Amino acid sequence: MSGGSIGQIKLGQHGKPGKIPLFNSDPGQGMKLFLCLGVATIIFVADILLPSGLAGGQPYVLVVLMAVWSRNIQWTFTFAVLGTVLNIVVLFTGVTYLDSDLYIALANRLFAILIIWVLQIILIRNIKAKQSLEKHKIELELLTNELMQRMNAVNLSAIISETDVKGNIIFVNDKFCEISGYSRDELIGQNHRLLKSGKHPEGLFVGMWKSISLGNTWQGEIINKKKNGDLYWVATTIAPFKNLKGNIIKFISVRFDITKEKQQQKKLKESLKREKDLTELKSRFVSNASHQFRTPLTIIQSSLGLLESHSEFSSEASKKRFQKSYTRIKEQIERMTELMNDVLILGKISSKEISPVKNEFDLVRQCEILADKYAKSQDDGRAIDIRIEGTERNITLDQTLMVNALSNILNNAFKYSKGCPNPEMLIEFKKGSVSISVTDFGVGIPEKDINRIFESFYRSPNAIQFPGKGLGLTMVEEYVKLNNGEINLTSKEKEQTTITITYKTS
Amino acid sequence: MEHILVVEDEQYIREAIKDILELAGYQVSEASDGLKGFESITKQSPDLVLCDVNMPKMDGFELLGAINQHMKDEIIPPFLFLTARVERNDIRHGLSMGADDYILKPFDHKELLDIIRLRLDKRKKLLSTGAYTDPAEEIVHSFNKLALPSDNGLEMIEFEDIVKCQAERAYCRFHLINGKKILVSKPLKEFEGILLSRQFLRVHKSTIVNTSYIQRYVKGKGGYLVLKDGSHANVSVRRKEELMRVIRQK
Repeated sequence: MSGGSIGQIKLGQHGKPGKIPLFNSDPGQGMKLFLCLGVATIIFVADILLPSGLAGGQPYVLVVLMAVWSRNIQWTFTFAVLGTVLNIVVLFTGVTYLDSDLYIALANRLFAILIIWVLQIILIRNIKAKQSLEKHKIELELLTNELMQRMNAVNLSAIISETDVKGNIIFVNDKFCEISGYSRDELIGQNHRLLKSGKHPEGLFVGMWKSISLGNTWQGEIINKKKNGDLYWVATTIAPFKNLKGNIIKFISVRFDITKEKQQQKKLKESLKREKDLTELKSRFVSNASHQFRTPLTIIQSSLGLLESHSEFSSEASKKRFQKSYTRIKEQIERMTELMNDVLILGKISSKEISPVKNEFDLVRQCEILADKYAKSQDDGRAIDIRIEGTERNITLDQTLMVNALSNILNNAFKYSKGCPNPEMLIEFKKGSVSISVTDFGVGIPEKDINRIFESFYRSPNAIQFPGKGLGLTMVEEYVKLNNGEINLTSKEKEQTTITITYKTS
Repeated sequence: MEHILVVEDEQYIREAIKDILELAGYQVSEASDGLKGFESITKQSPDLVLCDVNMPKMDGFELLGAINQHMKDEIIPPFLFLTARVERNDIRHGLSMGADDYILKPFDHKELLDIIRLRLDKRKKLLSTGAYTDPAEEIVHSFNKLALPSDNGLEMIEFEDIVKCQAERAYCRFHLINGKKILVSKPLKEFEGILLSRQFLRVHKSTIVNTSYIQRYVKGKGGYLVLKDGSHANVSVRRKEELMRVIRQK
């Protein structure tokens, strides 16, 4: 049942007032009818046999009255008809009247019939009124019963109280006593202020009184104080109770205990905050770690630089010999530095510190620039072939993020296809989206590794021979996601790999 | 021989840089934190400063801010950050404070030497033509701390913490909102330029107040001001009018 229909009484739904049966199953009924018939027969026989009829037919009224005794409209009616018919029958049969007697008898009989019918009408009305009263009484009982049951159900869950216009308590239900810890005697007559926790600003109550005094219903969540000092939350509805003239005579408040919900809400808030703190901690940790790793690296590299500077003065042969080691160490320092940069960025992305800044730019031009840049750095003369489908148009994205993603993809395409045909790039302008596919014809990815290829630090076994950190595609995926894009990878080992990124365009 | 100051708290890095620079023919002095760096810059006036950011006592950003403030009318040597703070915001912040370059750690020693050479040559050229430009006013302004050379060493105070500054003969006293007072053995003249370019106002020959801390004005011949920390500041008759204008604006 919805809350709105509490207390609303629906007629004739559950307790449809029963029809009053016309034929009661009263055991005395048959006897009564039999008696009526007997009396009617005696009167009729007497009427016919007696030379001047029976006192002008009035005794038939007795039959009708007896029928009334049965408290049955139809029988009353039947006997009224019977009395009428018998009167008329007697008038035309057997009995011989003198002329003057005939008229008197006729008048008498008509008068008797009139009495029978007047009586009949009065009786029927009476019975009907009685029956309708009974009907109403049953209806009322059913309603009361229903109301009581509803009230019981409400009383089990709701905290109900009534106060006079000054806020003094005049009624509380059991639930109220149970929750507040006060007995009914302690509450009745007290002002509702008794339960005030002091946790709300005074303005809340001022507003509430203003609202309900104007005849409005007030709803809100309130902390109240129990007798033992504990606090409890209630969702409160206060409705003014008006008399027929429209004056407020009392206030009814219905409250529901929401302490548990409030506690859960608080817990949820706390855990959300904890999660946020953790994310921040993580981001700070990554940032600090990156900073801390850089210090030893700097010491190594600057010391190396110093050695290198010193070796400038040594012989050409030893210079050459040392140079190889210097380069190797430097390369590794660079690799670690890059790795830290990537980890730093990933940390920032995962703690949502990077938000895209969109601008409109020429996608094809940007792709050409990147393709050109990566082709130039290849020492085997490979370049990238660009194909465009659909009508070219500018798109609006975070350009830096898009460039970062595509750079990584192009770098991979060249890296994993040394000595193979040129990689290809396909830019497809579709309705509502644009996708960029880069295909290389290099080593490909074994089928079982495709699912893990986007994981951080995961490298396919067939890629071990190539330099890499295992973060490239993880970063690409994050960059694409930040731009609300999608990334797809299909590959066949030793044949080709295609990576497609799709961005929505508006 | 050109003189380079290396401000860096990490001893090994400092030494390595020193050796690299000395090998390249520069005279090098060292400072292990921002405060020492400030002293060295003001006393030794090096030709170039190479400075870390994360340091104890005073970080690199604060040092540059203090230098800009302190040497407003002098020629500031090229100031290069050399730091492991690689995040974009830090780089932007460093450059917006007026640093001449922002080099990331770990660094390549040849690149470092190239950058230093470039900066020194530029400076030489500027000095010889006399076309040296002062640090832009807005750079000085963007630094929201005041470097106060107190008896306990240099202290960095947020401008919004200062309630008023009172001159007392050859020194002056800064009253802070937290009740602290800082005595500086320098005349008020040293700071008035910086203060008056901000939310500060001179209400008396010897008093400069922070206008955001004025609570009310009590009338009199000159009258006096009641400040947020409860202290009073006398107003001289000839400065009353400007004060009124400022109060009205608020």
